[in-house]
Amino acid sequence: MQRPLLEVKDLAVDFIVSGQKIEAVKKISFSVFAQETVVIAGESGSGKTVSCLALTKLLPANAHIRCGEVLFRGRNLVSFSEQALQAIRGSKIAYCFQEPTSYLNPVYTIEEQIKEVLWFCQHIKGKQARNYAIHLLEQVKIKEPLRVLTSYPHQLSGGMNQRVFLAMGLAGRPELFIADEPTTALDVTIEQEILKLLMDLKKEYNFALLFITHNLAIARKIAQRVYIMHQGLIVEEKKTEELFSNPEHQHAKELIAAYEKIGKI
Amino acid sequence: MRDFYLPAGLVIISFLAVVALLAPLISPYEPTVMDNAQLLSPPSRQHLLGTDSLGRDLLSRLIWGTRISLSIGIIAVGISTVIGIFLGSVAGFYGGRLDSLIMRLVDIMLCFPTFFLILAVVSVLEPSLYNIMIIIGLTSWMSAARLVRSEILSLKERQFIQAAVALGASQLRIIFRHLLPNALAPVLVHATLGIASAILLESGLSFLGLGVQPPTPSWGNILIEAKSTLGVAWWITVFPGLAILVTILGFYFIAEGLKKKLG
Amino acid sequence: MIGYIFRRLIGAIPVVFGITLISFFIIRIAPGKPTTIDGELNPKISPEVRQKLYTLYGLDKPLPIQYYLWLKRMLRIDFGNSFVDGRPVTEKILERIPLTVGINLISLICMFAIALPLGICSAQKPGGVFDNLTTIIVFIFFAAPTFWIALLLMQLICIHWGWLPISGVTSLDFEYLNWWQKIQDITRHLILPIFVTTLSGLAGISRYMRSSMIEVLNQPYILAAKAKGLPHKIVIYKHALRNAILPIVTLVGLSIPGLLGGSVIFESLFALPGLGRLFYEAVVTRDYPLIMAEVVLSAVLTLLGNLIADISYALVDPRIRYKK
Repeated sequence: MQRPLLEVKDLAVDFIVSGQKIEAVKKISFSVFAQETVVIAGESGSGKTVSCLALTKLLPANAHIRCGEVLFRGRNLVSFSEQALQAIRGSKIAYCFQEPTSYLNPVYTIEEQIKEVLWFCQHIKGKQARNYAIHLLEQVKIKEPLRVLTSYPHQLSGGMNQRVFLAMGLAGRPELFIADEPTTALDVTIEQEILKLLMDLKKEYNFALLFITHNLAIARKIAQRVYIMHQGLIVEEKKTEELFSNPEHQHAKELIAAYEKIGKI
Repeated sequence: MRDFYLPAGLVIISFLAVVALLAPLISPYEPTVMDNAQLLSPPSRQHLLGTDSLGRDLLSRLIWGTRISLSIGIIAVGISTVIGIFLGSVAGFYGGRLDSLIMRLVDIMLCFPTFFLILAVVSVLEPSLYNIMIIIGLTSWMSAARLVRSEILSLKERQFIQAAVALGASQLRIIFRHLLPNALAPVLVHATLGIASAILLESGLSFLGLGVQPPTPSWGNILIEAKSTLGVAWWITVFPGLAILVTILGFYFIAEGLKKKLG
Repeated sequence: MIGYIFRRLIGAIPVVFGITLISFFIIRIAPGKPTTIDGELNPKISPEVRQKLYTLYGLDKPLPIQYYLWLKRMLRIDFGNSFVDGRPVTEKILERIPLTVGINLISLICMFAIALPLGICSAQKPGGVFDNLTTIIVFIFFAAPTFWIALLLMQLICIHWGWLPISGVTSLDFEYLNWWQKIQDITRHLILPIFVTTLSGLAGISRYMRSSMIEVLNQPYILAAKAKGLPHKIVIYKHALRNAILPIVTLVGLSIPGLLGGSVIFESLFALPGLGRLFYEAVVTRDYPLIMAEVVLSAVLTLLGNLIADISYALVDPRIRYKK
């Protein structure tokens, strides 16, 4: 059998909050194969976001990885130096986040923010970088790329900024895209557009997608496999169809029941 | 480090308060008595911190100066806090025209460098002890007013206040029973810092000879003599400044500690 | 954007009006009329001169008329003549401006040049060794009266070591020096005043920079910048710094009143013929036309400083610049 692109083994993350230790993530293991779409689902506070940030050591200062391995193409990222990680972030593993507008720097134009990824991940600069940036904005179905390029984030809508974020992610040509609730802060119609765009891009660029959500409807729509996370633990791992037809863990059952209830309304 | 501020500040300030209260008992000499045989004598067993050019005991003058400086700080801040609370809560509670009028006044007052404003007033009034307290109080209420106003504005949106309004509580009752007690914590921190700056201000004024007038000793006016005795009597420069430094540190520590304690 | 500047300028008009009103009433309503005090204290002013002042200031007229007359003359930048030497106040002020503005401008530049890096370094590791060390030093500078520090430095540097002259702007033999020696002479005289003025604002600005930087470093876009694979230096000096330094712009305006107030003390202490010392002398001699002129001037300068700071903030922050 083929080795997974990303293999997480017994990863545990602790937070220190006002002198007390809080175990946010308790020894979880999961994996993502090349070109696969995997969803980690769970309610807010279950540790999904922290686990994803821990993969490339993007944790806040008061958090640390207590134990575990993050094997990316067989190399353990946990043991990487900050500098070595910089070569992984963006170029191998790209992120997009929940509220795109607040994750974009308010004082730089979109052009500046895309171009710096092109420079640091692919060493493209100048006129070439600008053309590439326009091309990327076209790839994420932005109709007026030139206008968007010279805009500041606060001048664009949330949906537009999320597209910009996807373009920025593509700029590094990643092998793994980690999307942390990328549609939660958006309107329902825009949510559907972004999801479709993301899946189209995945087909075209052949990256693996690790998608985090609390919304099982999305999981059912896009995922090949689903992990259910609850209170810092992964409580269930199944192929998508199997999960919905035959959930085992109590918490998975509850989530699915809730999802079906909403579906009926 | 975190919990060190409040106790340290309290120790310093209570020590100073005791010194101020017991000044007549603990000062070794009368602060204004001159000793012609002991002009500018360095610290010795007889005069622990030395004497000034008129032969007055520096330690005694510092002890009495504690009284003056602390009372100026506290009374001046008392005045400015009362004015600030009153204008701030009126502006925050009633809003509208009254609010913009008061806030405009704050803007205008804030344009004057405090030192210029105070000196201008000093030029028309006599710079007596009481005048200094009142003048500092009357020229430093603006930040308190702004603070109280913004606290009241944010409290007004909170549910328990809305409930009180819905229950038909009178406006004064809402201000005094519900709003002010809740705005008190930041005002307390602010006032503590205010005392520190009032004492600094007074020392500056007195140093220029436009504050507390000799022979009444204040830390600032003792330093006047430091100018003319530079290089001759280091103790006259060093000790009064240290007294101010320690006092201000004490108030800063309390403020810092309170800030952390009260969130 | 132009609309914003315009609104700010219009909003400043009533403030200027209020400034003149308050300045006027401080001096006029106080017990003891300026002319009487002045006549008693200053025997040089004869009864005829006093009568002239009386009519010049319209002191026999009701207060509102007095205010109106004073305001009218002030709009023509005519603050009257000094009670002490009879020279026009405007002239006396103008000749003092370069020194005070020069010292404060240089100090302001030094302050920011030192305080900003300090604040940025502290913010990198809040609670770290460097941060704790600067916190302690900053606390002490906050707490010590700066004129006291000035006295200590004078004692040590000027008297004990004799490295620098203790007061004034020039030495006695200034006229016989060539231009290069003249520059050296002035520099040696101004080093200490500038150093002390710089110290007076250092603590506040570095603290402000520190908290601004800490706040920015916790923003989501910093996490995103790291996630993009940008090097640490770029994240700090490009993404964080630009955002953290924006609100600092307004500090320039806010530090003006403190600097002017400090000038009164430092210029008296170092015997420098600047605006601050002029004001101090005016207060001591009760030279009311001069006092009023300087009070109004200092307040208007502060107002202008704040206006310029706010407008430049709006110019450098794209969120305000491109507000719809």
